[in-house]
Parts: sequence; C-alpha cells; structure tokens
Amino acid sequence: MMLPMLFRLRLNRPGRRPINLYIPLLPVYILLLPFILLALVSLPFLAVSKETRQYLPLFKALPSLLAAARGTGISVESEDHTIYLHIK
Amino acid sequence: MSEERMRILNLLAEGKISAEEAEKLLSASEKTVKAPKAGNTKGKYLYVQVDPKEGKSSEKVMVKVPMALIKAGINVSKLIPSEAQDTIRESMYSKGIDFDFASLDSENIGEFLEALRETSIDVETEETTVKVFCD
Repeated sequence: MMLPMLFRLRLNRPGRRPINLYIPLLPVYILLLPFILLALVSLPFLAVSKETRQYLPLFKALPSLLAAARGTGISVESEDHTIYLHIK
Repeated sequence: MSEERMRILNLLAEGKISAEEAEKLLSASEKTVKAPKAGNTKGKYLYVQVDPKEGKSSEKVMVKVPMALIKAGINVSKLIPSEAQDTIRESMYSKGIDFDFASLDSENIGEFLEALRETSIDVETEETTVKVFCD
C-alpha cells in the first residue's frame, strides 16, 4: 500500500499569472501523524457506545482508500479559468 | 502451482523429457501466464468527460478515477454500519437507484468492475455531451 505522495494544482486565469502548485504530501502525513496516533489511541475509549464502535472499521479502511486515490485527476475548463487537480 | 507447470514436472520425473527441455517448457509457460497480466492493465481508469457543444458556454470537465479507488470505495461501503446503510439505501431508492452495496461480495465486485471496464455511456443534451468510459 503506497499512499499518495504528491498533489498537483494548476490554475490558469486569462490575464493573470498561472498558479502551478506541487504539494508534497509526505510532510503533511508527518504533521498529521501525532494527531492520527492520538486518535488511534483515544478512539476505542471515546467510542463507548455500540453505535459509535460500529464506525471504527471505517477509520481503519481510510488508508487503503487514500492509497487507491493515486492517479485521480480532475480538470475543469471554462472561458474564465482552467483548474487541474491531480493526486500522484 | 499451475496445472501446466505440474504436467511439465511430471514429464521430467517420468524421464520423458530432459532437464533442459523442462526448463524451456517452464520458461515458455511462465511467459504465457504473464501475458494476460499485461492485458489486465486495460481499463485502469474510469473517465467522466463533459464536453460543451459548440456555441455553448458550459464548462469542460474531465474526471479520472482509478478503478482501484472504486474497488476500495465499495469495500469501505461494506464497513458502514447497517443502520447507516439502510438510510443510504432509502435515500438512493428515493432518487431512483435501487442498489444495495451490502449485497456485493468479493466475486460480485470483480464482475462489477469487469463490467464497468467494458461500459461506455454517452449522454447528449442540448448543451453538453457526457461520456463515461474506461481506458
């Protein structure tokens, strides 16, 4: 399982300077890691009711969903702007 | 171990073929096994393309979704608690979609994705052309 490592955002607007962002996701994961660990430790204690516990497997499945998102691309072109998002 | 590989090894054990011949046959069988895998890469992404018709000012949209994400999404949907699934199912039914994700098992998912790979949908309206296809 390989998590997405790069998020690309390209924004073109006529008459304006184009924005082309390459956001590396590794630092984002590192920043979020303490919160994720805290959530993993505290969730079983916080989710005391049966209904809440039923949602816990969803959290476990999130990394696989994130890993599967690699390659996702969205492109929107109009007269005013062009937006391009890509998860690598 | 595959049936073909087993047959070659049996022939070698019975002395009907030499070790060199067995090696050639095994390498040939490996190549034939690997060939369909290359074919499986076809239909890796699902595309949703919205093109405006000439003279119309609609936006041109292209969404590329990996098939792995669809598979993962279906698998995750099965983890949703039954009460929430009922609410989702009712909501989808009210929109005219009579589909139960919970009824999908691993075999069905494979068939569903395979069918999706071969699916091509074209919708033409006055302003746009919508295409859903795999590539």
